[in-house]
Amino acid sequence: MSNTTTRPPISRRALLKGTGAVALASAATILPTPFLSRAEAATLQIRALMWEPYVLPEMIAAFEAEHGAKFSTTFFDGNSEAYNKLKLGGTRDFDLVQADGFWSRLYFREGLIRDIDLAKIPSLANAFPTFTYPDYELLTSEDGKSPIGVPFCWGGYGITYNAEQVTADEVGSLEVLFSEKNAGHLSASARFEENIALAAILVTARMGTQGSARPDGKPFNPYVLTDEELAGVEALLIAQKRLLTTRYQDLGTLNNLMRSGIVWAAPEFSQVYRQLQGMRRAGETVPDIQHKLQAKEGGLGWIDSWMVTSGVEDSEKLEVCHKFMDTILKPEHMKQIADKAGTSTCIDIRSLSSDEERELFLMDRTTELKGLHMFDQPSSPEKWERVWSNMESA
Amino acid sequence: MNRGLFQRWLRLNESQRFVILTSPVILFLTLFFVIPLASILLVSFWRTESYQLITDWNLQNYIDVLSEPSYRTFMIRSVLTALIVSITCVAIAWPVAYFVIRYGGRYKLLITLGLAVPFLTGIVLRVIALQGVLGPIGLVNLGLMKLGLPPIDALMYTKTATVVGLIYLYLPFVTTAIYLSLLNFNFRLLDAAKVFGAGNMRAFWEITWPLNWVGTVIGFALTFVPSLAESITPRFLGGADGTLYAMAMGSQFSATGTWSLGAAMGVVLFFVAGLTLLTISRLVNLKRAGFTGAGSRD
Amino acid sequence: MGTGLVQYGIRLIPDPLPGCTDTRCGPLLLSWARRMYLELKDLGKRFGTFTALSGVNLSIAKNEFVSLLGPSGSGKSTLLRLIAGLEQPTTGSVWIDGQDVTALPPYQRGIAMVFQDFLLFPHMTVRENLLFPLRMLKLGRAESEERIDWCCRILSLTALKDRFPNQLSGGQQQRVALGRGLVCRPKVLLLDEPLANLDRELRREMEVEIRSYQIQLGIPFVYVTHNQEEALSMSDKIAVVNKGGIEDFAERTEVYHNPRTKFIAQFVGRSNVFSGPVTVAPDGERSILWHGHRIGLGEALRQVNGGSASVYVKIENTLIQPGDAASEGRIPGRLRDVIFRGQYAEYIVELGSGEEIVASAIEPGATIRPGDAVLISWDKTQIDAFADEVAA
Repeated sequence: MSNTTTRPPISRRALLKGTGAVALASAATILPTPFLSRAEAATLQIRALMWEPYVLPEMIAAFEAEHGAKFSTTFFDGNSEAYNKLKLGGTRDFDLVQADGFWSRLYFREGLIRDIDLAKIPSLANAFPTFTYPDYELLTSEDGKSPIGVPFCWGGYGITYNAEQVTADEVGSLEVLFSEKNAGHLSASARFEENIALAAILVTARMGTQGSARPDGKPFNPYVLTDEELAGVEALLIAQKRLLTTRYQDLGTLNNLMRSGIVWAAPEFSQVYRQLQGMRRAGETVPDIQHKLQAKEGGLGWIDSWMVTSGVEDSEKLEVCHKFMDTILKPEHMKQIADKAGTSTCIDIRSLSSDEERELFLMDRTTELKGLHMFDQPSSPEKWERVWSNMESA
Repeated sequence: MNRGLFQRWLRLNESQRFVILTSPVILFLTLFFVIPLASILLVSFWRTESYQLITDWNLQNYIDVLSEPSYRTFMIRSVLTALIVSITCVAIAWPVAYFVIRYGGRYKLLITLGLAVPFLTGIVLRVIALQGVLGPIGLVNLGLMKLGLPPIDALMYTKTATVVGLIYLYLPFVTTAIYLSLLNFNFRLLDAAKVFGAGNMRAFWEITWPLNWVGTVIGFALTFVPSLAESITPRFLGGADGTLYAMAMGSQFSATGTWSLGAAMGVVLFFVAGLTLLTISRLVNLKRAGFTGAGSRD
Repeated sequence: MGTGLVQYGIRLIPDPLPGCTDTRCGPLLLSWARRMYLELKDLGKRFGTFTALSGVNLSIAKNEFVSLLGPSGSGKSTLLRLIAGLEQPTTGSVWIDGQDVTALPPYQRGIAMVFQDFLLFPHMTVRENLLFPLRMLKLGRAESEERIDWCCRILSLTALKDRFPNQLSGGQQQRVALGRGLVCRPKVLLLDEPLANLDRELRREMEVEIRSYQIQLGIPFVYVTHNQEEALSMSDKIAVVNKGGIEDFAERTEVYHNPRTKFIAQFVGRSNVFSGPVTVAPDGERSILWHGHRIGLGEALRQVNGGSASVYVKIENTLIQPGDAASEGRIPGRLRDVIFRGQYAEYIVELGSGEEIVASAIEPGATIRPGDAVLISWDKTQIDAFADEVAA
């Protein structure tokens, strides 16, 4: 039952469908999730709202055995999705939750998550200093007093490129993703926030507005844009559409497109870069795929975190939540996460990794994160939605 | 005890019995249809601001959905796609179902069940499998490249790919609908038609087609409505320029958090689909389809 | 026939042959009235390894009402479908009105058919059903309407014209099916057990009607049935079909009274059957020995002097009379039961040996009650006798 709360195992679904009980099956999926999770809330239960690639079944099994708790999971894709789930389902449905960058502080401001006690998470001692307070502020409340989450994995939204087709010089600028020269050989993700934010970095650089006074009075943040900048983004994205092979929905698609040499450059979290470099190093015939973390106009970055929802009031449960964070942050588990999910970890696992892995997972480049703009919430989702729809229908 | 219940049942009048018999259905429909629909309707008259649902009543969402060119474009694309898909499905399913019925012999049930095999997997898996066939390094294009031929661009992340994918997904529904219709069709009527002067084609258009019109229309609707509301296939196969209405609608809920606008899009989609079904039902004259009330027999 | 039909434009006589230059015209001209209108020559049909029909030769004259009588599975329906062109024969040919139509599709043969389950087009009204063959013939509007009116009038369908088939009763549907067969003025009308789905009373009525239409139209009707009463009451001639072949093709009275084969004796009419070894008395009289009774063969089976044979005596020729004095030609028994059939009664007689004999002729004035001792006898000239086949 470790990760099946909202996703019954395929076999059961298939069986239901096979016996013709389609109506039954669909009724079961329509049932709101709280029904299911509350029904089984007998023993101590830890319910996590998390990214699917970070599930380590063996670790979870051992954790359940040690603490006599049940661990169940619900998955999400983008930050806004998790945010919507948390808001709609209420914090009583989840105990642990994951998010990126600025989102943690948003959660805290809205009372969705609670403060935690870092003293109960000794594994954090292994974290790279870049990811801990005061170097990294976003996992501490805005008044700087309460820790609200622990860093977990990190990455950029740099440009993975085919070095046989695109020069290192070209990827020095975001222009490479919008260049006529690469028509038909570009791809982008389907995430509207990051597409707009990345385009905004280029647009603001062209307009020279990054250094001028920003709408929120803070330093430049590609998630906070003026209407003129947004209009520029819209025009840029519409112009880019023609150049794209497709927007990749999953990493497998991007992997195929880059491996076959169809796509030369695409922004991504660097997982495909690692997969294809790994294949190339294993001797397979794969183009020379490289990754540029940050272009000269700027780049996007993210730090995943674990947080405890404000629904956790009971001290015993809070204790187990702390224990869970401590357990998953142990270097041996973080190494497994890196291997499985292909992401860089916030915990220093260099002693467990080969030189090759140190390079691929950017373990010696964590300080570069400083210059990246953290994933954030769009200043106006409504305006951004219109930009995205106009682009898609153009 | 049971006897007592039965006695009481007998004492009930017609309308009381009707209420008792239909209440589970009504309860089910209310729970899973009316309530969700009503809540969508409610939300569509509110608005969102930075992921907050604000409950001031307004029509702006509908004005946007109906007047903004982008949503109109999505709708036109979706309707056209659904039309092309359903008409093609009917055109393919007819000969398939016909030959299975006529020449399937004792294997015809097996062949028909075989059509349902892809349904043992989820829709995402099927779309991904299709990508494995049509995609850039899919079977078709790899095969072509092996032969030294250029890959077919038309099948790589285009609207055509979406149409092909949807046809693949919904063909079994239409085939089954037409198959079931033909299963109940008395093929000996064709003997009568031929004896009375009709050639094969004439007999088909005079007899087989009108008598299986209802099945055909049901198959058409079974494809048209879900195609109209399809978001996964265009997402995976449609490419950058292939966004369809339901895909845009879905992202209102999952990505942009503009639930109210999404809800209004949903209500509009509901009406378009309902209107389509109404139009389709107008095309069916049950008497002309061979169904006549058995009750009016004298 | 006559005026009524001329009025509606029915051509009773094929083209009067003035322009015919065919050399066969001479003899044809002489015999056109008697000429065979529908001919089956050496017709055979195999389905895979199963032989449904073989070596069928049949000639049917214009004006003839012919029944194909046989049990189910005998091949009679296949024969009809071959004539219609709904099946292609494996061997042989079909000729209609002097033309070889074997290779022609059904719609070019000028035939019409009435099906057992009617096969009316359910999505068309009665009028449209009747119009269908006329539309296929591309007949003009005026003539079509005229023919439909005629058809509705003779079949009493006028009030039902705008109904759909499943708003009609079985009898009404039957009449529409018949109408659809008549309205196109076919050269031959084929009827495939058209009365099988009707109740007894309606069947009687329809038998008379169908027969009268045939006489009016003057075209051959080929009528498939497994019901001997239907065949006997309507037909001019009966072709008895058995095991994919024609057992006999003769006038109906001939088929009934002088069955040519043992199968026909068994299948047509109701008979008592007596089987036993053939013995020849010193005086030359031959008989069979059946449960201790000598049953004389009379003039039948002259050439048979040994082996075994069966004697068939129709129940209406089997006479029952009171009495217990057994003698030559009178078999004693006891009346077990009387089944009253209206115009006649069946007397079930049990013999000492346990065998049963059914008689429906009774000595005038006699009264017999169950349990009474009775004697059974018959006129020796009214028997049918057949030598039993020796098992190979």
